[in-house]
Amino acid sequence: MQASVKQLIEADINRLHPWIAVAAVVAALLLQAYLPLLPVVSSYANMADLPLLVAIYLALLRRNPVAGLLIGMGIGLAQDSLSHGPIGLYGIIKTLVAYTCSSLTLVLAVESLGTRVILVCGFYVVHQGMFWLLERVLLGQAVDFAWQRTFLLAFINGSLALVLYRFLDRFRERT
Amino acid sequence: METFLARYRNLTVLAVAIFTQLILLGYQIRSDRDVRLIRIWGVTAITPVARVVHGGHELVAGLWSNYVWLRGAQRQNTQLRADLDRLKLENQSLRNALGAADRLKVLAAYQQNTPSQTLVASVIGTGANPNSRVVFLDKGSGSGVQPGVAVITPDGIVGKVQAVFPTSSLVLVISDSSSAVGVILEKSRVHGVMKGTGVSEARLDYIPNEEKVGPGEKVYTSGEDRIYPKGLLAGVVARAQPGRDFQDITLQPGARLNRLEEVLVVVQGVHQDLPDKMPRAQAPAVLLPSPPPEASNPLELAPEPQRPAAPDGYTPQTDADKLKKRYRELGAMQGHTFGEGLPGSKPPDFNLGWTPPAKRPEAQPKP
Repeated sequence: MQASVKQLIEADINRLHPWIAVAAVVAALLLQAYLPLLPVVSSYANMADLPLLVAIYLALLRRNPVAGLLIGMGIGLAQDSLSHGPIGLYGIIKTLVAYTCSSLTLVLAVESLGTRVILVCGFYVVHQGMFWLLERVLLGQAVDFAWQRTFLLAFINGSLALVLYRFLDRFRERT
Repeated sequence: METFLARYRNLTVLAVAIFTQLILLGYQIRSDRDVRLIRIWGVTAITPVARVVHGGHELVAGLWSNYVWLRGAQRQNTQLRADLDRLKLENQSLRNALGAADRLKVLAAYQQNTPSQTLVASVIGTGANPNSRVVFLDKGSGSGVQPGVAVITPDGIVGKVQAVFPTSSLVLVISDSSSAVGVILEKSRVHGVMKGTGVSEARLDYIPNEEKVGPGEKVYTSGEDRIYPKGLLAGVVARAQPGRDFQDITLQPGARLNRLEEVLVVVQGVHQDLPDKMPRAQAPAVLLPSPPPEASNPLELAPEPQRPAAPDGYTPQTDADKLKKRYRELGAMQGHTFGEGLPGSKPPDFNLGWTPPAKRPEAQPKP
């Protein structure tokens, strides 16, 4: 098992240029902050979690749990800094999500676009569940978990990831 | 320990990362303080890019909406033009209503001040004959309009009612060539006849060549025609020049005859003094009687002769004044008050008590 995974990793090591990765993160944060201001898409802008999609993409690409958690933590903290909530909430969640994503790449073949989309759907639900949990436990806010809406948004973000990941794959450098 | 950490390196880093963030979060929640530094970093990193993106978006959106995406602009333009036309019409209508209200206000003020009994009427049409100057009013016999009464405006006389119908009346305007009005000149008080010429200007006839008449002199109705009450402005002298028998005088009618809208029909006319009649204090000085002979002592002034006080405060000095005084006395004797007789009423007999001079004996033919 170890050998097969290693072979798989070595066979398909792909990486994104660091500047492209940074640009993707900045663009995701920017769009997440800017899209709600556009009249045409303001109603739908909050449905997508672009920083989460980018964090998952980069974590899956790196295939390194430590690098993945650092990516997730950085994106999460940046997202926290642009929001009005306490800093660390999204940081913790995205750290865990990105770490898990990177760890999964060691045991699963995630190069297929379909697999990645399914992972996005699943991790979106996990992301929202953790967010709800931390809000209740750490912040003491009695909020209900909207299951139906969460699954619907998971599907929407999965569909969005399909488009986004195909676009970002164009910038991958095969080594 | 080192082996443990090396074996579980990933989990250790994860635990440290999560623990650090939990500490950070717990600190914020417990102390209710913000970690401003991290927020400043995040905002500082994102805001410039956001500004550039926003500027680009504004530029693209402006180009798109102003130069590319013009679907519906033509329809919107047409709609706006239609709205503009409608609003212009509304504006014009409101202006007209406001103008009409102002004119009616002026008419009402004039109607209140004039002694004649008048009726406000609107001009609703003109005559079909291009050679005649007639207008139709919206008031007829049903409103008390009678044929032959005068039609005026605050600016001057307009004409006389020629025909009356139940709900309208036909007015012969003074500019019509068949129209004539008895008038009196403002300064010289010479009587004449104002005649229409068919155009905007009128003619003043029967003013002797020796009378001094100049442009700008006002002409008022004399009341002699028994249509227009005395004292109404008829027109202003535009030009005057000596003629063969009488002066050739051109008048500009006082009323704006080509822009008649609301007029006053004189239902019952009352004569009035000429509006510009000067008060006594400003009357021209009359010649005083000769001064008394000088006293022997130049410092001793002769006593002021006692003059009989006239009822109106002055003593007649000239023959005209004496004649006027006699007419007044005759009018008073017959119970007549000057200026109040209606047009067509019987004037006082000014020959009462007058005896014709004795007839001269005819010269005997010489044998």
